[in-house]
Amino acid sequence: MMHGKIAIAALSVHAVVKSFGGARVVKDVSLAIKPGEFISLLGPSGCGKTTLLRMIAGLELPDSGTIALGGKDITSVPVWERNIGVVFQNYALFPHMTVAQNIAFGLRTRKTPKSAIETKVRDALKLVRLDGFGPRSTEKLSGGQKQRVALARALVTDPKLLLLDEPLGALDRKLREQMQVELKMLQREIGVTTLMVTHDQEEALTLSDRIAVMSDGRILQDDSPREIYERPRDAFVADFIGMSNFMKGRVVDLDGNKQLAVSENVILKLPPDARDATEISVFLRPEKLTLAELPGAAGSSLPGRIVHVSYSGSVTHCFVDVGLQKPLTVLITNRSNYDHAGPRIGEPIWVHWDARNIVML
Amino acid sequence: MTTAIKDTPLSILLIPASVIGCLMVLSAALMLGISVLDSFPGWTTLTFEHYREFFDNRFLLQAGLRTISLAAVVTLVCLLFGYPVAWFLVLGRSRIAHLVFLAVLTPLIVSIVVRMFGWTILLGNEGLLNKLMVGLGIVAAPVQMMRSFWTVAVGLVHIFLPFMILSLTSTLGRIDPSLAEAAATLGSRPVRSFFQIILPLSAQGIATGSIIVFCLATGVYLTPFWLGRGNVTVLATAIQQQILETGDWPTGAASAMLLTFFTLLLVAGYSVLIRRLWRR
Amino acid sequence: MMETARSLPSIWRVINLWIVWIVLIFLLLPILIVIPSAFNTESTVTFPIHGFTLKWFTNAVSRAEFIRSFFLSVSVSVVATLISLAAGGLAAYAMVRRSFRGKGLLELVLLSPLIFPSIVLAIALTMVLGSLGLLRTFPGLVVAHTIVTLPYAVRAMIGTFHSIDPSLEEAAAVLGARRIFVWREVLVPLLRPGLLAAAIFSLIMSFDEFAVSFFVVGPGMTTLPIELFNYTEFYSDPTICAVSTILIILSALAVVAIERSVGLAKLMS
Repeated sequence: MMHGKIAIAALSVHAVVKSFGGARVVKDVSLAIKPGEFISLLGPSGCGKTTLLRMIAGLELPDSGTIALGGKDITSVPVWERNIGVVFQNYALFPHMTVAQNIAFGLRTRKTPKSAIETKVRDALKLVRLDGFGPRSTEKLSGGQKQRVALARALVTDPKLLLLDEPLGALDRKLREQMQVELKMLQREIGVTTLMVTHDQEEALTLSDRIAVMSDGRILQDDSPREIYERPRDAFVADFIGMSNFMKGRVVDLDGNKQLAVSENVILKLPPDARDATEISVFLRPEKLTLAELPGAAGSSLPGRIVHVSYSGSVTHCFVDVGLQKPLTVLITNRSNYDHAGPRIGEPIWVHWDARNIVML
Repeated sequence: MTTAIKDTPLSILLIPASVIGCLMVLSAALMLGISVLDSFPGWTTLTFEHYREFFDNRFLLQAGLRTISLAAVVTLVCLLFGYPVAWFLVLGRSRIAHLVFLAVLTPLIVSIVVRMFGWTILLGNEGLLNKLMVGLGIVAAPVQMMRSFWTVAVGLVHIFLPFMILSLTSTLGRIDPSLAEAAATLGSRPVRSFFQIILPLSAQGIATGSIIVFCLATGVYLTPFWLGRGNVTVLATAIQQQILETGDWPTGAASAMLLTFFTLLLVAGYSVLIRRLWRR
Repeated sequence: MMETARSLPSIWRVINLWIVWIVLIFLLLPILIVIPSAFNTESTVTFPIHGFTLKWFTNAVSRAEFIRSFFLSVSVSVVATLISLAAGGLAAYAMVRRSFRGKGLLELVLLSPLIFPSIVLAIALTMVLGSLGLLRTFPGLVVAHTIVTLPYAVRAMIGTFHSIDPSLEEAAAVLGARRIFVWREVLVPLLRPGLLAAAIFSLIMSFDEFAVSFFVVGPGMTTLPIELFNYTEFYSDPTICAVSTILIILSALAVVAIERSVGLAKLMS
């Protein structure tokens, strides 16, 4: 508990700008991270997230703006004096050193006594569940093991901040999911403030306390994973994270209720807190839609025809043509393993939803 | 699965090279043979006399030692100057780096005879360097620079530096740039990162470059001949004299064999040492 | 500017840059200085020059032995390079893609001229060629030069074959291509940069070859480097500068042509 005091941010980035050869890669970005928080920078490749991470690490110098670590301005402090742990995308393990030598590297640069190095390395190996791997060569390790060595090497010096650059990008799906859980548990256990850069929305959603969605050098939204998913502030965020059904129309007033006129004959109910606007875009997540054989309430259901079915084990995505520009995507959970009478292509069907689930942009 | 190309008979692939290879083996065997004949042409017994003769002959022995020290000096200088250039070429991705690379490659394409002549113009008694030094009052009269060990060394460095730079560039270029960054985030200053990360990882290139330069330098003939003008006798020129002028084939062959053995020994020792130093 | 991880501190960077400049001057000066010297009116090679004349060029091109040896050098290096590329290319292919007994030995033998002092090769070859009656003949020179250039060709071709995905050949074969067709349509185009690099290296090595040729050449059968060397034994006028200038111009044209077509830097690395 902070007892009402304003906590000093573990990391605060203020109005940072960076250009490479005339191209502005990071445009006026500000960001603050609380101690112990796990925050993700999420965005497509080329959005400037890696450049931002590199500036925080000290590997690039911002053109303008400041970076402070624990309240101290470190903008012009060289990398090697920052004590920020970094796990690189390709792990960057020193190939001519053993696992133990890799982990000990940061301790040796800090002139840690030999005996302390040994204990710390052993503890670090235990922490990432690689006991006994010390004398091994790094080149014969699996991807997951390399990842853990890199993590141990970054954590062993007790950094004030841990930076992860696409840490799980090089692993295959199964291993990635397993490492996600491990990484999160480890981070909570040590309580190290962590900033992760990723383009994988699922990774960001599961790991982070907070997500900053970046696009074209700016942070578009900086919120909890739930807010980012359920209440995205703009179409880019909505589209980048999860699947969405977008609809555009005119706001009309009918008997004191706001309605959205998508076309001549398609008029949808809007949630009660709808703003006053003429032209707006709204969207509905696929899992908020349901399929039914009968019509539902007027203004929150549409008739259509199934045009495509995409089965993926636990869930099925149905694409229903309701006469709008694009078919609606409906996510249904496959609850039974005996009833094979799922949706069929060509079948006429109704799509229902609850108007409160409509998100306006 | 066998494919058409895999069915190309091995013999067709190998015969041409094997013929040339056999010729080489034959040459080497012939020389080894001649080195143990009592005289050639026209021999009566086998003897190791000529190997002993090499060590008794001051002229040959001195030439041998001069050859090794010349090659060692040239290799060292190429390494010391080649490394920073290779470093610059790998780090700078600019247009300037590309132009520097072209400039490094250019001497490879210009005939060695031309380059030898250039050195004569620069370092001769009437040469540019002497005129500059006399003009600036550094020396009173032109200094005799040609025909010296160091001029030959300079000429050889000029020939072999591009080889060294190419070899170092290819190794340095393969080193993952994020390794140095990782070292820095772990608190390592650049100079320390260089000695702990970059240098050990470029050991392979240092070894390859040094071995190529050293081996080529032990066999050089034209440069000592041209820039030394009879004053800097290396083993190659000594052996040539031994054979063409004295007609002493066996001693010449024995000297050549000794040079080969010694070079191979040094090379083997050197690569073991490099690997020991950095475990790779 | 702040020091970043990859760059050394500024003092080291300055030293590094200085070394680069010194090396560049060192590498280029002895080549470039030859050019003005070729136009000197004085009959000794001096610098700076005293007047402008083309007489050394006239002298150079009017000396029959220079012209003869130039064309001999060119034809020897071209023939030796072609043989090296063909023999070396086939062998390199076998060494990269096949396994056979004595592979290591063959590689060692073919690459050995790289390690053996060239004088050793020169003497050995003189004896072999002498006993075959090939001394002072064109075929003798070609054999000598092929042996000198073969290791470079083999080395370059082994590297190239390693860089080509074997599945490409298999894909071509699966598509029903015949053996010759696979070579012509798939391998050779992929090999072209490697072949070109090997050819250039081999041409240079052969054109510059001195030690081995010195033993093998004879009257009327002398390569250009040796002819030039012989000339300097008797004369010290700038004729050699004129010849050198012509060679430099030819080299420069070659560099430009290579740079335009594939990029010299890409080729050599």
